[in-house]
Amino acid sequence: MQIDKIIVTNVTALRGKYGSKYGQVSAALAALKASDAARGLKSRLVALDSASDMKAAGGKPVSGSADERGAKAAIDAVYRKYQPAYLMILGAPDVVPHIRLTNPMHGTDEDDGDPNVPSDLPYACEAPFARIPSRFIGPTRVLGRLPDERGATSPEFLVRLIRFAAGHTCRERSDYSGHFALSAKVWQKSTRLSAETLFGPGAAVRTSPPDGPSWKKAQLAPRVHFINCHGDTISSKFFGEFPKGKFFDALDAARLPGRVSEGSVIAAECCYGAELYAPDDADGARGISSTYLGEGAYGFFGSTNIAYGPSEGNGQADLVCRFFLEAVLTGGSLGRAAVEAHQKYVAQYSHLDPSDLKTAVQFTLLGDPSIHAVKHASHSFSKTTTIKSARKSGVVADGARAFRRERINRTGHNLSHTVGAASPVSLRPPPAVKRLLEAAARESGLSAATWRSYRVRFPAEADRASSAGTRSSRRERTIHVVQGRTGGGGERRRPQLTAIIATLERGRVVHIRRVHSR
Amino acid sequence: MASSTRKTTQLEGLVVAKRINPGSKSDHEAVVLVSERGELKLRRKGGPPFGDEELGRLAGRRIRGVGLVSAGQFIVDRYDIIDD
Repeated sequence: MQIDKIIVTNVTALRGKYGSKYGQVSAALAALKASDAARGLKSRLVALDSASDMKAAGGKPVSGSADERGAKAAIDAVYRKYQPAYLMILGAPDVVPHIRLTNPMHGTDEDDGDPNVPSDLPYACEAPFARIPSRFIGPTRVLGRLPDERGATSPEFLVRLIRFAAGHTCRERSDYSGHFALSAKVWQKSTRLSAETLFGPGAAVRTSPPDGPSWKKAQLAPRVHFINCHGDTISSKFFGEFPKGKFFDALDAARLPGRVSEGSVIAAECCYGAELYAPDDADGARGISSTYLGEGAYGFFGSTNIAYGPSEGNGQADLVCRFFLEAVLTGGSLGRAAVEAHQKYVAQYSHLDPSDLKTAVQFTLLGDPSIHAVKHASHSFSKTTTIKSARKSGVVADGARAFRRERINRTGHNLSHTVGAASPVSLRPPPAVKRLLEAAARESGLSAATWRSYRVRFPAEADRASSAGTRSSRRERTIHVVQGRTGGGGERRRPQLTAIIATLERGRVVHIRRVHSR
Repeated sequence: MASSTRKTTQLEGLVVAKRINPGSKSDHEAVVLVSERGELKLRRKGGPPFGDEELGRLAGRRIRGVGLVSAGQFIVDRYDIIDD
């Protein structure tokens, strides 16, 4: 019998946290499975720590709750066995771990301070366990995580989330017609572009400053939230900024309860927006993503650590978050929206530079991936008596979801086999290119310049592909970056970080651009 | 109720003000502790993650702090200035 939704967890870890109260979790999961069955989904719980469950799946149990390699192998075995339409991880990272991928931004002292990139994306990909992020840019599985709280000793929060998932309502598009968009004021141009693309011309965007963190219920009532603010690790707040260097509280988890509409879906570009920390590490303050879920939000799409995106125009975090909400609003399940957002983001590139690659793997869905927040608009033909009767009798089977999974699988495979990624190398640019970059740096007024180089590597399959138009010269693609500070001093605004980026093929500059920090 | 899953650490070092995470959405002037564990952004537990004026006044001083190390940051429960 086809299993439509697999829920994976570590029961030993959950029992370790909740003791005799684990029974409450079991009961809630039974209700969730019954609710899934009522809407035509057959769900099964697979305990990654259970020898019998994993034997049935053709895999091995994990050695503990921190066993990343074991968790990846176990989930891969479970997926291969059951081929579910939806894969839901139940529990925080102290139950089923994130995979800590190498941070592509590591290279020089100027790079960000994240020691690694905690990610669930490897669980959505067929590639075996690795810490190399470029192995996981082609997800093929519809996945989400319904988290409890790190370090929790009582299951109330988890049970609450499971009950919201079991009792969720699939609503008309009109119930998602309003929005709440919030931006750090320094990024308002970028956020306005995102909001107008998502919600239409003239879409309202609140900025911090001057707005927040005390929001009225009516302001937070719309079921779609798009947030582009600062965030930080172990912090229950998001922050605005204006002018540069002046920060304000924009959104406070403590001020959300009682103000969030059930069924809300949130996309947050903020650094650490989807970080699942132990509340006790923040004096008991629960994080914003967990608070939203605890108030009945169905899904929260955010980053596990430091994110990237421009202050003007749309790029990186702006795009992946916008793609997620677009898919939700057109009737996609939360999990499908997440995988399609990842795929659409990666598909834009011939190769991913380090910050693009970090963006590709750091955004994660918190929520039941099988939930459709918004009803999909069906064709009038499917509402005819003939077709409705044929579906009921089984003469016509609903193959639409299977076709969507086929497309997702195809797209993920193609991306993982064709898109390149840049990784740092110790490489000097050719002398003529170095002179060009030095001259460009002088003309741009760069000071204290540093140099970085990258080699773009494409998957082996990409070279074997014989598609017309794929140039063999791309095998020798390198990127050279000269970066330094411009401007600042005296009463003027503080220095900017400026980078001149040259892409070379066979030693010749084929593309050059200059970028500025926000 | 949730309990802390990480152990606290004692670190001492020099506090410097510097720009961190350049080019990212967390690109900002921060207060950093330079210690045997390298450079860690300094934060106070319960304090503002950005623009903490109390920590800003520590720039150039040596401190000893006790707190959590998380994601390249040192979130101190308490600290003492030790270069007096």
